[in-house]
Amino acid sequence: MADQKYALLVDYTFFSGNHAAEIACKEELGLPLDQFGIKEVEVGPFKIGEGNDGDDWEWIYLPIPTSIFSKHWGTGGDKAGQRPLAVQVEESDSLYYGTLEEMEAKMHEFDRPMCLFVL
Amino acid sequence: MAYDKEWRVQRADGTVATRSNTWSPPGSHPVGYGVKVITKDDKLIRIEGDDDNPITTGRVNAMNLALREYTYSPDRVIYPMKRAYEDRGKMKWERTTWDEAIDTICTKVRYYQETYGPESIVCFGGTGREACIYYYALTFSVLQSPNCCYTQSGWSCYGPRCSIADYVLGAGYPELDYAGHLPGRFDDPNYVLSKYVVVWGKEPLPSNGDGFFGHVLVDMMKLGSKIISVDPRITWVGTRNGNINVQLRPQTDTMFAMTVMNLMFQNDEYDKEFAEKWIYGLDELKERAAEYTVEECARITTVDAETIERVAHIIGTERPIGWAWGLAFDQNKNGVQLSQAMIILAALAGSIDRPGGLTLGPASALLGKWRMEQRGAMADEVWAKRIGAAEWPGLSTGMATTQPDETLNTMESHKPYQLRMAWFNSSNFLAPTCSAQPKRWHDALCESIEFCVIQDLFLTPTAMAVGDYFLPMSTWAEHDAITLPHYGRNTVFMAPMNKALQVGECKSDVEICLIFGQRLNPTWWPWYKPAGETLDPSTLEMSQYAPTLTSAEGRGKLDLEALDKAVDAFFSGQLAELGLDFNGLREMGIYQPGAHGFEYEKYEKGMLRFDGEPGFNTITGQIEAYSILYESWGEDPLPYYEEPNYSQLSKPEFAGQYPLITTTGSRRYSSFHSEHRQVPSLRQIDPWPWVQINPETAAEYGITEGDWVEVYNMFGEARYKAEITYQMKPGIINCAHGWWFPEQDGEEPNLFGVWKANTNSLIPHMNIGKLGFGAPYKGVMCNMKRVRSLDQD
Repeated sequence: MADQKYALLVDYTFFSGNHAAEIACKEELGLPLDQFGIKEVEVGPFKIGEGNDGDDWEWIYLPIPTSIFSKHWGTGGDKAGQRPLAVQVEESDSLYYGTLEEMEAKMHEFDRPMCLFVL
Repeated sequence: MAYDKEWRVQRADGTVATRSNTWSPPGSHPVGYGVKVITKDDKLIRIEGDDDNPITTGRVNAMNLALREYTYSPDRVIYPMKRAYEDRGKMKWERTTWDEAIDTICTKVRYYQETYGPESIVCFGGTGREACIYYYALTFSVLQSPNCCYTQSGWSCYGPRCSIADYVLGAGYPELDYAGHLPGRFDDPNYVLSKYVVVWGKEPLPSNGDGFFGHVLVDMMKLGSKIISVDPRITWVGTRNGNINVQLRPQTDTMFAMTVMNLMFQNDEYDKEFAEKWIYGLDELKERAAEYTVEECARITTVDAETIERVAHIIGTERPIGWAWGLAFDQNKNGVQLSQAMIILAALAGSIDRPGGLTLGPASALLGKWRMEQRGAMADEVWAKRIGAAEWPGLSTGMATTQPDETLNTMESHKPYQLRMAWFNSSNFLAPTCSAQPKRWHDALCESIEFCVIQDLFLTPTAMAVGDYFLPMSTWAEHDAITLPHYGRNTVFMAPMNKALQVGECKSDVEICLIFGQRLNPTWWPWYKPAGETLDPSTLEMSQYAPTLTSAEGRGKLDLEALDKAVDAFFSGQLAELGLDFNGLREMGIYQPGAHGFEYEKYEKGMLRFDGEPGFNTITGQIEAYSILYESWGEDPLPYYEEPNYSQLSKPEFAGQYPLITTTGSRRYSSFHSEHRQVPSLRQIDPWPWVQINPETAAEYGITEGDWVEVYNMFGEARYKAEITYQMKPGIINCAHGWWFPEQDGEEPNLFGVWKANTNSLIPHMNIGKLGFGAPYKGVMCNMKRVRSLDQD
């Protein structure tokens, strides 16, 4: 399966922006300080409603897998198919990794917005 | 069992995986993240998660993942060091041996004990760490001093909540029931998921307070729990759909609590059966609560009336209601009343020791009980000299420590006596971690303390200022010990730390206690038996304090093999009551009370009181809404709201000068208190101290994102980089704590820049509640201005 595609699925309603995946990639891959296998981005917080309830706010964190991550865990990568340390340790338990087919199936288990990164 | 007995496994790639559980150092509270420590040739390669841990399930926080960088930081001290008294404040440390350090320190301890009395020695302990178990023992049974001190004004971290729970509820720390004690976790048939969790003055995802793995809130939200977030800030948790934010003005929480209580009574929406059976003073409480109207609450808290009413209705009618109460209960002069009111609200909501509500444990158990028993090593007349104990019975009954503010007064005045020797057990309180007015503490330490031992991993500003001896500590991966949530006040679980590597000559808290205890008080510290020791403690003449072992003659050298055996014997002794030894705990992997007879509703079953009768372990046997103890100490027996002393409402004459309110103490994923500033990958996440400001307020001051800002008030000033965010309401700001700059000059007067962003310089000394608890760390009036940089005006 040399052309097997892999993907990182993010349950971004609950991904909490805890930085564990960032540090895990640095440790697992031995990256220098300025390089990241996963880097989090933040959107918000900003108001989208009139009140002050959760539904009136937008605040999202998203872990972005870089090309370094894809090189190791994507098609033909030396770690392809192996669970990344980042996926194990991420504190909100909102990252999933596997073949593209597995992750597409996984995505449909949820009834909320999901983010699928094809590596 | 998911765990197998093999806690250490050799892997095919030549590495060794040692199963362990985290605590400190470096600190992360006793969360006990289940981990595998990967080593090769005694070198730490990386930290991995342990999928089998039923609570953390493989997850690990950023700080513990960065342990390799922390372990091998070029700044870490890994050998004992000493420095001449006259060189304090200078980088003139020199390496010494453990044997020399032990001999010299023991000789000094004996000198101060015998010349000035053991009370002339004070031991300072840091918060949230493994040392919280051992610094009591180090003080009481090793040094035999009554003066064990956590320096935060009003003891404003966790101790107040525990004491109030003890006084009012007659139990240990009431913790949110997240099924941690149940091996089946959320699927256990005895568990019911909280419908709502009131997360109050707590941000547990980054902070993980006291053994509570904060991300279980995410687990619970995924299963369907909703959150009511009571916080001056908007939190990420609060912004998930279906959750409610009660964004109150700092320090007005008790007003909110009393008003919710009033609404529950008015609307007849509370657990009447429980309340009538188990609440003492219910009628008086109803009368008191009736004074708190929604309109007044909305004015004082700045929360709209509709939200207050909606929350009261939910707490009154939805079941089960879980509660996660946090640091904001302690860092408030009115916090004693807040904690009392919260416990009553939980009782009215039927949450007490019920599934999905709050679990209870005894006021102290296991190692937590042992640490308290160490006070028996002192004669009553020595114990009676504990600083502030007689003046503050409302604090000294619940806490075995000194009253913190009085300790500074004593150092400044030498009254009732001079503190002459200090031992810092993992505390860097000159950095803004706990003590208010840290410059005063600095000056008093420099003047009062003649001899000072520092037990730590890095040369902190505190070590640089006053240390004479430096004893290097091991990380949690470098020693054997036990992770104990709530320090035995509610043992949701218990798990072993298994030593995976050795770095330099570093030692753990318990090892240092065992070594010095064997020398200074072997009757209480019998475990460590060094080879070559020809002195038999049992045949020695007793000095006033302990067998005299001050002579080096006939004494063995530090014996590491005997020390390993002593550690094992010590922990095995601690576990004996559970029918375990330390190796048994290692093989078990984790101890969860649910597998060993844990029951809910212990008050119905005679499981909380010492006399075995049903009820709570209070004077009345009930939850005391009307506190007999408070009354005996001159405090109002019923909860009440009091406006904070340093607000625009209480000090209108200063409102123009200081129109803002700052809160502080919230944590981030990148550090624990003043730790981790020298760890590159964590410093990269939060490189500079920050102040969070609402966009509208920032615009009024002409401040833009990233500007340097000086925050100041009548007590002091500190500098931060501006973070403009809608998390804050206009007029309310949030300052970072724990900042110093390891990359800067460590010598006096700079001390790694410790005075530049020192949040605690803004906090008054001894502005505390009537019981001696609670200071306004989370709400003082202030102002701010733009400056050029950390160092330039």
